[in-house]
Formats: sequence, C-alpha cells, structure tokens
Amino acid sequence: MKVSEFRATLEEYAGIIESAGKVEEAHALRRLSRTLKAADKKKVTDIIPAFERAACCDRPPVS
Amino acid sequence: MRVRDLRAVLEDLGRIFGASGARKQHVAITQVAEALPAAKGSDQDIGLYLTTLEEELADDFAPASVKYLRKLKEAGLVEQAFLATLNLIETDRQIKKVDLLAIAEGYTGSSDRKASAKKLLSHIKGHFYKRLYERDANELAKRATPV
Repeated sequence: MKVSEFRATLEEYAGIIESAGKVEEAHALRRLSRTLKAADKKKVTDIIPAFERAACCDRPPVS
Repeated sequence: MRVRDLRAVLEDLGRIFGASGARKQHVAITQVAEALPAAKGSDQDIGLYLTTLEEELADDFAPASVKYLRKLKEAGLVEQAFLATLNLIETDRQIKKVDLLAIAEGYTGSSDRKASAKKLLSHIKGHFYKRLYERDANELAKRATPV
C-alpha cells in the first residue's frame, strides 16, 4: 500500500471519529498524516524503519 | 496525547478494517501501529515523537551526503557520537565517492577531489580532533594563571 493511500485512509477515519466526538484522536491522526506527506510516493513498508528509529532515538547532544 | 494513545487509535482502525475484510488497509495500519513504541517511549508526547519521525523520514529520502553531514554536525564535539556517525559512513555500502567529497567539503570546508575514500575519511576525522584539541587548549588557557 502506498503512503498516499494510507494517508487518505487516516484522513477519512479522522473525519469519522471527529464527528463522533473524538476530536483529540482525530487531530493526532491528521498530524500523523501530515508527517507522512513527504513519503507519499513510497510504500508503507519502506517507512516502518523510520517509525522504529524515532521510537528509540537518543540523539546526541549538540555541544 | 501520548504515543500509546495514537497506537490505540490505529489498533482500533486496524481491527475495523480486519473485520470488514479490507486486507490491504488492515496490514498497513497494523504494521504502523506495531512500529509505534509499546513499552519504552510509549509515554512520549505525540508532537515530539512525530517531529522525530519527520526528521527520520527526511533522512531516509535525503541524499547520503546531506544525511551524514547533518549527523556529523549534530554530533558536535561529542567523540562517541562523532565516531558512531563516522562508522555509519564507513560501513554504508551505498555511499559513493561524490557523497564523501560533499561530506568532507561540508564538514571541514575543504576536500581534495583526487583523494581516496580512505583519505577523505581520515581528513574528516582529523578535522574533528583538531577542533577537539582547540577546544581543550582554549579551556586550559582560560584556567591558566598569568605569571
């Protein structure tokens, strides 16, 4: 599945849950969708490593 | 909102697609949900996590020279971080000489186009230690008492 399709799914679901009153969750999904926009032409499997790195990332401090 | 909350929302969405037989969506959403931290890091603020994710994605799609130059600059004068980045550059099989030249030029301000990859790496390393020694010498000079 392409990231652009994945994003469309997220946006659609965000609309649904927002109308059900889950505003914060809908906002988070839209935020995730915007974050992934740069990778629109890639496949979802290609971006999984970035999720994992972001999860465990301890960036070195800048001196 | 925390990362674990986003993970829960995605898991719900994955279950909905799973139950409705939309396999493609189910697989993609489950993959992303599972890639989000479940234990350590799950308490992280969603904004902070997504900012880091954005940087990681930018790294993935940026040219190697831009990616590594940013990492080298981020390492600053922290020797361990610098050596870890240098090791990444050395072991990256996809990196080309033109990338190494751009990294050396961007990091040190100069590079020899005829130099081998090994020499370029050595040039980068030398520049780092020169800056480190300069910093240490300056600190010593500040502490010295004039006679």
